[in-house]
This record gives sequence, C-alpha cells and structure tokens, in this order.
Amino acid sequence: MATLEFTDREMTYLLVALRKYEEILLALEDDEAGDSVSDLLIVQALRKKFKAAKDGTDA
Amino acid sequence: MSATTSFPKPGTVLWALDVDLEREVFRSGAASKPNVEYLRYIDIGIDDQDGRIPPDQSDKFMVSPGKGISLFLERMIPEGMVVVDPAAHPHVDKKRTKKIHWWGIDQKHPIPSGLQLIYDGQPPGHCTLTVTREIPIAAFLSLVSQIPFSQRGIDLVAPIY
Repeated sequence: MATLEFTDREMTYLLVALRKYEEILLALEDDEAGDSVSDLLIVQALRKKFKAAKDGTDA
Repeated sequence: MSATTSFPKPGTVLWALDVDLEREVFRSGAASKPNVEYLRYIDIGIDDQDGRIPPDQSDKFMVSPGKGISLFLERMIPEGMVVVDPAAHPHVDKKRTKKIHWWGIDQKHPIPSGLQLIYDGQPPGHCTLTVTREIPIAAFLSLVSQIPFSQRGIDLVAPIY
C-alpha cells in the first residue's frame, strides 16, 4: 500500500467524513446482523488515529 | 472502547493448521446466529459498492489473505457507550441503546484447511478470519461454515451522556 501525505485541510475533511459515518452507525436502530458494531469500533479507532496524526500526538 | 488487556503483537497467528486456538475470540452477530454465512464488499476491500455480496456473485469475487471476517479478542464496547443492566435501569430509552449479541468460536477444534485467524490489532483487539491463499468467496464461506460458533452473551449498551 502506498504511503500518503495529507494537508491539514484534507485531514479535516477525512475526519468530518469519519465523524458523519460514525453518527450514521450510532443512529442505526435496527441492525439485526450486528455488522454495525464491528464497523463502529473500526471507524472510531480510525478517526482517533487520524485525529492523533493531525494533532501530532500518539493515537 | 473497553480497556485493553494483553493483546498479542499484530501479525500473530491465533489459529491455523499448526496453531491451536488458545483464547476466546468474539464476533458481533445477530440474536440467532453469528452471521458468518456472507461477506460484504467492504470485507474484501471493495469500496465502491455497499452491502452484502449476493450469493450468485460469490464465485465472481475472491477473498485474499488479510481480508475476511472481523472478530475481536474481547467483548468490545464502542467509545462513548457503556454497558447497562436493564434490570437496574428499566427506564433506559430503548431508542438510544444497542444490543450486541456476542458469539465465539468453540476451542479445541481444528481450523478448516485454507483458513487462518490473524491478529491485526487495527483497531486494538481486532483479528480477521482469513485465507492462506486467494480463493473465491463461495469456497471461503463453505470453509467458514465448518467452524463451530456458540453464543457468548449479550451486552446492552447506551450512550454515556
């Protein structure tokens, strides 16, 4: 996989997109399959990782 | 997310033909089944289609090593949520809660040849039931169907605030 670099603005867009996706997953009321929990855990961790990278701190 | 205990090094093989499964692994599934009879496009790395891959397409798409079914080494709780006891909190707003049905792989069984369980740690606690070499989805799901899963409990979770 290629190593990418992001501008601060691009990183902000990514974080907004992940936050909105997280909100959608949290709002799902009837997820009989249980997939949304795994997705939520992955998305939350990913957002934390990007946020730490943007802020220059450890995730 | 729950506090992490001791997770192995990412890349650790947790279960393979020559490695016994020696710890609990959990899958968030449905009330009646662990939901391992299908894959979604996202599970095989396809990002321009959503949802489950239809059974009639399961010979068309392949599963490659590292892709497959998500499992966790703990009963993970999403960040910002807490497990609630419905008996202690009978008036909790059900619209704001999620029920997590946990399933686990029964130990002391051999893994079907062609599969392996790898700890990737992304996010911490996450592992993937995957393949040793690229195979069609239909073949992967057929192998997965031989793995015994049992219920491990239900967590009712609600937002902290």
